[in-house]
Formats: sequence, structure tokens, C-alpha cells
Amino acid sequence: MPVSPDNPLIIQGDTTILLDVHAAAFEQARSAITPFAELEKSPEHIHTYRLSPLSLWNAASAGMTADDIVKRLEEFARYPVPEFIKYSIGDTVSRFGKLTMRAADDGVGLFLAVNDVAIRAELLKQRKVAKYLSEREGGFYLPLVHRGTVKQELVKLGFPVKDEAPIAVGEPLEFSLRPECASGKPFSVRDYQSDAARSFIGDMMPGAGFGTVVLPCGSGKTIVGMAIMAMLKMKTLIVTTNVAAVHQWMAELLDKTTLTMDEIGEYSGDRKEIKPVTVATYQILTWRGAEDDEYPHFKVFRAAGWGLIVYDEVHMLPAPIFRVTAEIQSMRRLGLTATLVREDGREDEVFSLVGPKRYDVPWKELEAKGWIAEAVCREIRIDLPEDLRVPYAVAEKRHKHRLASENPLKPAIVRQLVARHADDQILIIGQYLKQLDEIANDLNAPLITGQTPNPVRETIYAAFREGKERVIVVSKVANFAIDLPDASVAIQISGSFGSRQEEAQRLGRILRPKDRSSFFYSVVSRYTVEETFSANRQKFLTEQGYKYRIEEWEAGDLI
Amino acid sequence: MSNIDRWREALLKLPDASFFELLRNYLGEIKTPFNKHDLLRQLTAFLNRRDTRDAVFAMIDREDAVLLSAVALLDRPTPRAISLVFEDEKNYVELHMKLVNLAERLLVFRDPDDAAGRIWLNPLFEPDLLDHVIDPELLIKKRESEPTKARRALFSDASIGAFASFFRERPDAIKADGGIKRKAAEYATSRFGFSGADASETAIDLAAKAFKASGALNFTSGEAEIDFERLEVLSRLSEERRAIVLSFRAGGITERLIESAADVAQRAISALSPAGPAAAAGSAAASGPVAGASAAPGQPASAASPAFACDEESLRRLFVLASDDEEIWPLVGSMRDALVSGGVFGLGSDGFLEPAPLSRASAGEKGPPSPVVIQPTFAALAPPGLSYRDGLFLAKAARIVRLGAFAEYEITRDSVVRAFVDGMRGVREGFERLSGTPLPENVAFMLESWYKEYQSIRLDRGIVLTVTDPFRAAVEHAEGMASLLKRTLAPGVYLVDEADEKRLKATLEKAGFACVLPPAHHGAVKPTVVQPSSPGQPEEAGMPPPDAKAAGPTLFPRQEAGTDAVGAPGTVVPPSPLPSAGTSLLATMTPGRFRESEDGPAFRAKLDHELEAMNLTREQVQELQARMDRKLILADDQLRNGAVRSERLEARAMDFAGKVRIIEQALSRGTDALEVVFRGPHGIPERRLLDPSALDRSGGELILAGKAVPSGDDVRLYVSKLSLVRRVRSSLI
Repeated sequence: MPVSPDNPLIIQGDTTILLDVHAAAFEQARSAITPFAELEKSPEHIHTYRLSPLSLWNAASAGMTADDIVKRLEEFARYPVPEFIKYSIGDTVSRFGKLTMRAADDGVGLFLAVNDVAIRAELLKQRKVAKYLSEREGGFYLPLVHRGTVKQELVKLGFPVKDEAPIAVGEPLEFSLRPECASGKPFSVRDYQSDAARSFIGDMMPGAGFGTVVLPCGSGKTIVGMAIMAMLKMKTLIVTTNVAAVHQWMAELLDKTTLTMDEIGEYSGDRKEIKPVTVATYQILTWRGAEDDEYPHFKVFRAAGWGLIVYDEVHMLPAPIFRVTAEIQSMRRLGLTATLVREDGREDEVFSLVGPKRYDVPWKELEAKGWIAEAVCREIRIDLPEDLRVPYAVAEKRHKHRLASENPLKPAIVRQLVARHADDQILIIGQYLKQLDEIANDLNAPLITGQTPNPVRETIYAAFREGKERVIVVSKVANFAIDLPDASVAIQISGSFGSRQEEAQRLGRILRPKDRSSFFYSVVSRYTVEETFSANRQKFLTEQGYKYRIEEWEAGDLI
Repeated sequence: MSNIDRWREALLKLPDASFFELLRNYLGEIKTPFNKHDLLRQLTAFLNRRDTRDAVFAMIDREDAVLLSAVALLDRPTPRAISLVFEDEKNYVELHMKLVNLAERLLVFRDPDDAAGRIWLNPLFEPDLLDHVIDPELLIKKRESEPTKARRALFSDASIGAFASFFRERPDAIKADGGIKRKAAEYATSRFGFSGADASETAIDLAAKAFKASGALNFTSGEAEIDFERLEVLSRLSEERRAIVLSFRAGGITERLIESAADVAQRAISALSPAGPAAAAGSAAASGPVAGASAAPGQPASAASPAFACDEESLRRLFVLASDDEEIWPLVGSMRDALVSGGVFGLGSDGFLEPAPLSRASAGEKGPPSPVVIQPTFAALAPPGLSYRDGLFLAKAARIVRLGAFAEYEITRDSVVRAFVDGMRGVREGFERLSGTPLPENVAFMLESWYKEYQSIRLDRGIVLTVTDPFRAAVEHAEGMASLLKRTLAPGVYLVDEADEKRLKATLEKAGFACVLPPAHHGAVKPTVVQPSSPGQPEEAGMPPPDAKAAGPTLFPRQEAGTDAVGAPGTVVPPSPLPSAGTSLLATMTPGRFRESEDGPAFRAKLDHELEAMNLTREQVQELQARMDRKLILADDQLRNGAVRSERLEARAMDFAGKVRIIEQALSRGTDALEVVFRGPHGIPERRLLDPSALDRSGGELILAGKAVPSGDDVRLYVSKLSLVRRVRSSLI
């Protein structure tokens, strides 16, 4: 194959694919590879995709052959596709379907069909899997409860399971999406939201009905969840990050679906309701009296005939939930997230339990279409004051971060930024309560922390939405799932070290579409560890195409 | 001396017995008095006859043509060179017999004044031989290359930069025994897509060997350290040459012979390009005498893509054909293996060796190379075709993330600060130049910020001058002092260049201050490495003269074109000539040009018929038939009674007396060789060709002494143990 310099794909030998966004055939190439390649990064000029075993198996499960995949790559490749990649695609795809899971004849357990004698022998040698398997002719028998665990281990061994075991049909629940919000605003599901919902539902056959939808903050993941619920019309358990998010889900359901308050329950530290649609927190589900106790609230997963479980912010799935999720593999499972990254690196486990990525779209693409706000990212650097430089120099590493984060010059910068954005609704987000408290006092703005009772929070949020409060100061409780539709400026004065996911979530607080650009400021102490952490935090967003401008401010310039 | 005169000289210098035997065969009975020059004129006239020439060419069969092609393409080879070409398929004795036969048929001859014994084509037949017989494809099995296969040389410019970056990032990657540590290998595997995990590990291992042999990877305190200056030295070479040189170094080819071996490899590769060596020469001519062969950015020397693949044996033969350096010949197998390991040739599905594209042009790229893409993520994506020097810049200032069609680097604080420490300046400008556009704001800011940081905390080498009050003002204002004070480190504390030590003392003394500098404790001083000159600079002065051989029909015409030489570690050597203008017979000749004549059998049948009609003795008929078999009879009138003198040439088995007689005949003629067969130490029959020197007696045994041909090794054999002794008449060979 000759070099085709105008083609947009550069296929690397390590299974990554570079996609040149400036090439004429960019759109076509992206559509061509999306079914079998995972989007890793989408910065300004060149996007990176990866041919992972999971992405190839997903394509195989959707009926694509290795030849189809290679043909698509060759059609858009700038340079010849490496032979090893062709081989690897063939080898990986050929593994799909060698192991099939279906209902066992006893109607209770599952049968893992493995026709290849060599693979059967290999599986028996793998202790982590073998302990769940009982040999039968042509494969293995396994108890239903180990469905997820076995699948997870097999994927690690390089053997994807074609899961044809039937998905449990939940108890029916008749409801639909409203054509108009209860609040009177017009409502419709956007194209990409519909696409995401359809990708999840699939053909309703075995192999579909579980997976993860990845959409940017502010792009309406909740609506994707509700659209899927409305398509399935089954009892649904929604698990989310905190009580504010629970209330937000409930409010959204009431606003945009025909569900009534009687049909929606809250399962949290405050209330323990189980209703046809129940919204729970991860916190309550993973609570237990003592370290050795069972998790008493896990019963919620089996408390009703759920037809769908929605894991909101699925990247936050706490480890104990892994276990119970592994046990409920016969239920439809939907993961929703904006950031695939987990700082503990356990993304693969989450996705093998909840299900593979079914839909993803670059943030900048939605921004270009106006579905999320354009955001301008700025990092402001300021020196530590003279009297803190020696204490900083001799401090332990962890304490250095705190000293840098609590730089006493930061409040002055915040003041100036607040003044600069006199017409904006502003969120000031930080990690350390003392610092936040000082800033709140300084600006005479309300402060929301983990200690703030939910009714108080709701009151402050309401005042903010109504424009009665222009600035609110929030701790990390604001990292997730707070609906602040009118915030257009976020000022981040400190954070959890180098957390990329936190950075993205915080940016997400200002991405609701609006008629002006949003501004995201990070205030960082110069020549401190904060710079390094800040660079790491920005990785995810720069990979999504965001550009940071760095400004150096001098103490003498501060008012 | 013209070639015709040389041929005549060769005949005239034959021993009389050989000369007259040869002449008698073609001209019949020679009557006295005779004049050798006159006889030669008669022979020339005979050979120039149309019917004689037709007979000569009619009787050239495929086997003759293969050997004649080797003689032509090797450009007057020595017997040793010929034997190397056919090493894998012909016993030397058979080969020698064939050469003797070609000489008897007056198709080739040996220059008697040439100690090396080079073999020439007979100039009387040479033009027709070149037109109708000499065919490179008889020696080289080749086929069209498979452009659909994406192949990558291990030491492409992109790879070299990536390896350098890798070793820099992982100085602990290499074990004391030279192997690669497991974790480092895994790390490399995740970054370099050399067709699978094992291949990536091997690649790193080979890269380490090549870098070490180049002096670019050194060990201090158990950790590897990259010497970019040594890598810079390689920037004088074309990309193709670099790949070859590093492949050879990785393959353990003796450093002393790397230059010659690389020349040979380049000639061989040129022969596999569509237009042959002419293409390489053409690009050299277009860019000046040197630039074509050196690595001007984006202007590789060998613009033509190697379009042919050949089998392993053919590549080995190509190396032999491309070399006239006997020291190289024993290496040709290792050279081939090294180039295959180094990915300069890849193994095709049919066992043929596919040449990898070693330049942008040969990779099918047109136009100037694309710029490096620098993203706000601090990623620097380098497309193929980045110049070697730019690749090294990236390797110095960024860390390799992955290597594929594009090399992906990440600009990190560590990588950039390390570059500053190494003395690199203008890092930001360098990245801007590579990208061709302003850098993303955050990247530009951080590069500046890291530079400021580096400058704020730094180590300087030099002499510290400390002056306390009340002498400060006097010292600072002493005549000539201002230019010596490089930096003021603190009030009264100054940094002075080490090189200015004497000047400083003199200036202080002149100002009236006695000052004694403590003795310096220098660490190891890095040797100064001479920076390569830019293309076109006077390095050419050191070039050896072009090959002294006269231009002839050759696969690898020896005309110098430019510079493409690499120094051994720590040295800068003058360049050696590259293949250049000329025609690649291999590439340009129509495949399968040689066709065995259909007239040959008819001519032989006619001779048989004539012989049958003659009234000759049985011995005479046998002798003439033997000559006809050896294709020495070119015309009816050679079948004359007087021309036939039968001679016994061999003795076998129990015929001890016959064997001794044949040995004695060979010794008395002085020019004949002996073919002998005997049983070796394990009872296996061995066949040897000897140049006999004596027949000695030891006790009751006769011993044949001589030198083995072509090795020249001394040989002593008991005549009683010889199962065959055959005299090989030397004639013109």
C-alpha cells in the first residue's frame, strides 16, 4: 500500500491509532473506527484511539469481522497498516465466541461452552477461574452468582465471553418521557443522547443491555439514563454519589418523566425508601457497622425486581460495590460517567463488571455543536509570600502541598477574579475548609461543605439559581452532580493533589450551555509542588482538547 | 595497455607447451620455423571469423553464462572472489575446471603479471558477451518488492532518536552483562511496536549493542549514559548509511571493517533499486558533491526506493559482487544476518528478503516532511521524515512515549531540564522550529518557566574569586578584570572561566595582588569530539583516490560520488567513495536476457558427423570427442589428424606409477594444477585442487607437497592414499 498523505489515520505498532483532525476525511474516518476503537484523547490536532481487546470484542459481538476492521483501517490509513496489527486484530477477534455463556439446562446456573480442548485445559489450570467451574461435556457449569467474576477473570486471561445468558426481565413500570418539562420548558432528547441510549439498549438480545456511556459533564447524562429507563419501562435502581445528587435525580425524573413522587424513592442516610424507581447513594450502600460486618444495605440490590441498575458517576464505583455488581450480572446495568479515569487504575474492573463502553463523544465536539458551554481555562501562578518560603522548604512533602494550596495570597486573587466577572455566577471550589471559610467570609458568600445540612445546601443552591447569590464557596462536595445551571465561572483554589478526574468534574460545573463563554481558573503557588500537581490535573482536559493559558501574577499587583 | 594487448601478452607468456597445445587445437599442426606473434595474428583472425564466433556463442550454455556473468559483474575477479560467489553450490575443483574450460575456449584469461590472478573476459568477445550472455539475473534471484508490507528498519532515524530517549529515561535498563532488564523490556515493549513483544525486546537489545559499539552508550556507576555527541557524529551519514552502520555494529561486525562493509551493503542495496546506483548518484549530483550522500534534512542520498527483493543467497552474492576487499568476504554472511536483524531487510513470506524503505522517498513520501505536531497535552508527534538531527533534538528534550509510523514524545520537566543540563539552549525555539507554528500557550509558558528554574538553581564549572573589603573595589576595577569576571555570585564572589586561570593570575599580579590558586582536582575530562562539518566542507580532502581500476562492465561502477563515512567511536575518519554514476546491470538488464543457443546441439551433431567420416584411430577419436565435449572445437578444420595429441591426464586407485607420472608431469610443466581425491580423517572422500610444488620421499612413501587452491594452505599428501590424481591443464587460467 503506498503512502496516502491526505488520509487521516496513522496506525501505530502499539495498537494506538492517531487521527488527524485537519484531514479532509476526518469525519468519515472517525465514524469508520468508532465501532472498534476506543477514544483515548482528543486534543487540538491529533486524536488518539486504541484498539483494545475489549473494543475489538465489542465490535466482534456487533458482527464485525477482522477483515472488516482491517479494511476500514486500510481505507483511511496514511501509511501501510503494520502487519503485526493486522495479525493482532485477527487473533483478538478470533478469540471472541470461543467461550459462550448461556443458561444451564438446570435452569438455575450457567453453562460456559468451550469447544476448544486446549482452552478448556488452560482454564482448568487457572486457579482464579477454575475454582468457580465444574467440568461438563463441552464446557463448564458455574453458579449464577459467579457470572460477573468469571467473566472478569476470563477477560484478564484474554478470553472474552460471549454472554448469551438471558438478562433478567425486571418488573414492568409504565411511564414515559414528557414532551414538555413539568416546569413548562420544552423538552426533547438530543441526538447524541438518543444515540447513546440506543447503543446501550442494542437489539435487546443477550449480549446487550449492559455497558457504560461516556459523555462530558453538563451534556445531560441524566437524560440518557432517563431515556434508557423510558425505553425499557422496568423498575430501576439508581446509585449515585451523594444526597444532593439523589435529589437532583429525583427532581429530574419528576420534571422530565411521567413518574410521580409515589413512584420514586430515596435510599440514603436520611431515608430508606424502596419504590419502583429508587435513587440511592454509594455511601449508604457501602455502609456497615464494623469492618467485619456484612454490608446490610446490599439487600437493596435484591429488594425489588429491578430491570435496570444505573451507576451514576460509575468511575467512582466503590470497591465493595464491585462484589455485589459481580453477583448481579443477570440484570441490565448502565454506567454513566464523564471521565473514564480512576486514580487507582481500576477502570478495567469497573468496565468488565458494569459493561464495556457503549458510547463516547469528544467534549470539544459537543462544545462545537453548542451542547456544552465553551470554556476558557486559565492557570494563575503566584509566589508564596516571603515568610512562608522557608517553612515550605523544610516541610514534609504532603504538608508542602497544603502550604502551597493555602497560600495566603490566593484570596486576593480570588477577589480580583470575582471583581473581574461582575456579571457572572461564580463558584469558588477548594479543598481546605479553613481557607474556604476565610474566602467565604472575605467575600460574604455562603459556604457549602460536607457538614452543611442538605436543607441548607438546597436553600443556597436555590438562591444561587435564582441569582440571589452570585458567589458560593464550596468544598469538594461540589465535585459531583450538583446542578448549578447558571454558574459560568469556577475558581479552583486548591484540590486533591493531581486528580485529573476532580479537575474535569470541577470544570463540568460550568459547562451547561449558556449564551457566554465559561471561565475556569486554577490558582497555583509558583515554584511549589502545586505546579506539578496542577500539570497532572490538567492532563485529562488537555487530552479532551482544552487549552490552558498560564498567567503569572505578582504579589505587588494584588489589590 | 589495451585489453587486446593484455590478452595477447597473456598468451605469449604461457609456457611453450601450453601455448603450442592451445594454438595447435585451433590452428592445427604448427610447422617450424614459427613466429609466436604471427601465430597469434592467425589465432585472432580465426576467432574473428563469423563462423567461429557463431560457434563460440552457440556453445555457451547456461552454466557457462552463469560463470561468465560472475566474471563480468565482479569486474575482473580473483579466483577467490569467484569461489565465494558460488560457495553454496559449487565445489572449488568443479569451479576451477569450469574456469579452465572457459580459458581453453578463449572466453576468459588471467593476466600473468597480476599476482592476484584476476580473471578477464576475452576482449575479442567481450562486447558480444555483454550484449547476449552476461545476465545478472543468472546470479541474483530477485522479484518485485511488496510495497503493501509495512516494514521498518530497526535503525531508522525515528528509531535512533527513540532509543536514545529510552536509554536516557531508563539508565538502569541494561544489566551488567549487557542484557536488558525484564521491567525495562516490558516498558520498551509498551512503547515500540516492533511487530510484537519479543521483537521489541530484541530491538532494545540490538540498539544497546549498536549504541555501545558507537560509543554512544557508556556505563558509569552501573547506569547507562547516552553520549549525544557520539550520535551527532552519525548525522553526517545518509539515513540509509546510518541504518546499515548501526545494524553492523549491533551485529558485531569488526569496527575496523565497518566502513568497507557499509560501502558494500550500500552498493548492494543500490543494485536493488529501480534505477540502480545511478539513482543514488543522481541525487548526489543534484545536491552537490557531498550533500547527496550526507544527511541533508529530507534529502536522503538514496532517493530511489529499493524495489526488488532477493533471496538470502543472492544477497550474500550481491555483497561479494559489490566488494573487492578480501577482508570483507569472510564477513558477507554475518553482514547479511546483521542487516536482517537490523530490519534493513525483512523476511518475506516466500523467504525473499524485502528491503525496508530507508528514506522518505523510498517510503513513498513526497514533498517536504510534515512538521512536528505539538499539542497542549505536551505531546510532540513526529511524522516520518524528520531529519536525524531534529530527531536527536526530540530525544534530548523530550521522552519517548511510543514509536510507530509517528514517534510520539512527551515534553516533561525532567526531559527539558536534562537538556538544559546537557548544555542545550533554545529549547523553546527548537520546538517552535519543529512545529512551524507558535507553541500552545501552556507549553511555551512551561518551557520558559523550566528554563528560569534551571537558571535559578544551577551548577557552574569555573574558578571562584573571593575578595573581601577593603580590596573589592581595587580588584573589581583592576585593568582587564571586568572581562574576566563571568558572573558575580555574591558581593565580592565572582565566577571566572577555568580557561582564564593564567590571565586571572596575571591580572591580579599586575594589580599588585599575590594570589595562589589551589591545585585543581579534575575529574574525568570528556574528550573533545570534533563536530562534523556541514555538507560540502573540506572533509573531501581526506578522501582516498577513486578505485584505480579502469571502468568496465560492472554491476557496481567504481566512481566516487560523495561522503558517507562514519568514524569509529572516538574518531573522525575521512569518507570513502560511494557507488555512483553508472548503470546497474542487475536493475536495468531485461530479466532472463540470456537464452541458450539452439544452434549448439546442431553444431555438435555436425562435428560428430564429420568425425565419424574421418579415418582416425580410436585414441584420436576419443581425444577429439573429449575436446568437442569441452567445446574447444569451433570449426571443421580443427578435426585434423596433426592437431590431435592424446595425453594421459589422470590415474586412479591402484595405478601408483600412473599417479606418480602425472604428478611429475604437472611439476615439470610448472603451471598445471592437480585434482586429487583421498579419504579424510573420518573416511569421507575429500576432493582438493593443488598447486603442486614437490614430490618428496619419506621412508618408503612418496609425498605430494603443494598449496591448496584457492586458500593457499600448505598440503602434504601420501601418494599411496590418493584414489585419484588428475592433471588440470592450466592454459590461460
